[in-house]
Amino acid sequence: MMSDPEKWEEIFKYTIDQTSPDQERKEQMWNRLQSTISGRGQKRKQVIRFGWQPHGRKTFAAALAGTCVIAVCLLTGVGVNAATDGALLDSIREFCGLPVQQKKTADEGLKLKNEVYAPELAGCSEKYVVFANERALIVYERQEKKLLAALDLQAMDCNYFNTDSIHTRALLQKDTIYIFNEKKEQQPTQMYVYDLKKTDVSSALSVTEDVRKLELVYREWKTFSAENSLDTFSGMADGDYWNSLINSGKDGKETGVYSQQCIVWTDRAGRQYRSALVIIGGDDYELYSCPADDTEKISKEKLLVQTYSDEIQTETATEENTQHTGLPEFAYQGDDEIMKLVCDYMIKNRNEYEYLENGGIYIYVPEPVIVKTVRTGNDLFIFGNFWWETYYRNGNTLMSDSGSEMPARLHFVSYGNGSYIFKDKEVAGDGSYYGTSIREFCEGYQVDPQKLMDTAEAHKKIRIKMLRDYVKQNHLDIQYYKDYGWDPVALDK
Amino acid sequence: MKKTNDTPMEDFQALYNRQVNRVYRLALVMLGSQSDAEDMVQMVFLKVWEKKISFRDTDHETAWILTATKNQCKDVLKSYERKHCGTLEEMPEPGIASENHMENVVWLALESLEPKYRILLYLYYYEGYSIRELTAILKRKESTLQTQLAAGRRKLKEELKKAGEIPQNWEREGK
Repeated sequence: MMSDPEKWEEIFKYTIDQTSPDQERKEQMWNRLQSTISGRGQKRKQVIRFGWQPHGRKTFAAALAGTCVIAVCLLTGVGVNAATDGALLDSIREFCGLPVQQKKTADEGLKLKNEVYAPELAGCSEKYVVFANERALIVYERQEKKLLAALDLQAMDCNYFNTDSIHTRALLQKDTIYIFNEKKEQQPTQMYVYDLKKTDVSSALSVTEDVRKLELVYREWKTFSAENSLDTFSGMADGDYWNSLINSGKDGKETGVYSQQCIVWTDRAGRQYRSALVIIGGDDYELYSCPADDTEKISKEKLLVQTYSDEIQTETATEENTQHTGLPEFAYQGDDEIMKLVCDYMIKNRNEYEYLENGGIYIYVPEPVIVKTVRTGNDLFIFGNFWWETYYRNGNTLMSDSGSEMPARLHFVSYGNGSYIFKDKEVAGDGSYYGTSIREFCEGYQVDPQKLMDTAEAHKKIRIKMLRDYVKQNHLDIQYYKDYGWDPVALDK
Repeated sequence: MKKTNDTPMEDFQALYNRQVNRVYRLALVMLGSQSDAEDMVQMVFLKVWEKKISFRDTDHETAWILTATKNQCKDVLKSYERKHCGTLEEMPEPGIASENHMENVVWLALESLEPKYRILLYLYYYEGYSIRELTAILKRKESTLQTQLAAGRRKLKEELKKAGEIPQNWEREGK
């Protein structure tokens, strides 16, 4: 008799099996497809008709038909204006909400990894939710339940979040968003202004250097920051509530992250609310809100932040370097034989660090500081601190995800043909054994153990060199790397 | 991916024959309706045709097809949510009916799950993808997928148990 788990799996598979279309249905679908293809080839005047009839439930079929029209029109970009007038294209764009480039930006912003918190909630009102991260500023229209705008903050050089000395600020006032950089609490020298009432992207965004305007907006932002921006953990619900949200994996619950700050806002009736951005399971965006006078009463609003350009990423993810997927693997290509030996060894053994857990969206970069090599006959001992880090891509920036140092002695053996085979290693111990263990495996080799420990400065240099070479060798359009909580570092300096 | 200037109809038909079942089944799992699954077949293959995509190998082809189908289905579901301001539970009744009681129960149980659980159960148990492979297709961390898979499996089993449909001596009927 089959066990319970085996039984239900077999039931499941059998049931799915029965749904496979029979030959007749497959032929019908094929004929319909051929008809559509030949119809498009003739550039008929009527908008895309795929040759199907609305099925049963009109409302759903209408939505599906609308989506098909839009999907095909935007994907192909061909024939729509020829087949229809420009008004249809405009209405298609309006339906979808975003022009193509903004869709790409929205996609990358929405999919950027959330290190600790959800993206910063920059503004909230009855009408809008505005949030931002190191990639994009996203505006969501609550009543229409759609994305209204996605600004490329990298292109605007206004993507300083989770940084040290320079921070990007955004202020929502009615239908206008102000975006500027604040350096060491100094008034900005220029500011972006985005008019949410304008549908034409090119005219909606402007830059101002008007000193009086800058002073006024900066002052208003400081007031807002002091009075309307609260720590979410203490400003809404209680700590246990948020801790249970970020609890990973227990009882089948998905991990959630919340915006570090919640926004205090007022509706037309004068009622005050507090709202925080929450992301469940990595891609379900929600707005958690509570009345300002009853912070335990949390209501949840799902944000339909539709990602339209998934299909673009689907096509290119395995081949091209888009967003943070599909980065080519790191390989040392320099002339230093010892460095190559070490890097190849570290890369080969990277699985120890669960590099592949995230489906290869990270690159593993060895950044070893080699202190000394000792050759004894066929034995080669390499002493150093074998730093490594993993990165993912955020547009023009490599974001550091994790990493570690590893003071160690690597032992290779040569078999006379110039190549080396790894034999064994001694690595530094943890805690109080750290220094002792390093001294022990350095003893007898005339290696200063302190040099294996004081490698921070040398690591910085090797790190930037490795990343610079990696970007150059792979012809990547990447200009910075960034650690969480620190400013981006330019690779070309 | 290479893009060719011409995609011969014969090659396209061969691709269609290889993948139509997969697209149809996945769309059926996600959208819950045979007619919508047929529409999804049109959308996905039309995209392949319009973009004139050629694939490295069948694995690549399958992964691309599945991802495109998944994404299109998600767009449709969200488009429905936006237009009707409703939840998935308010969507029309499913258009799947079988003479086999067991199959109906399984479908109803599937319908009770959110789309992200349905697609995961389908890809994992039916298409046979490993969790590691699914991280690339579904763009989620392995730990997230493990959690979701466990949750989806548990919910499905609960529904089947409620219906009293995990009998001791279940045997296949018909085919």
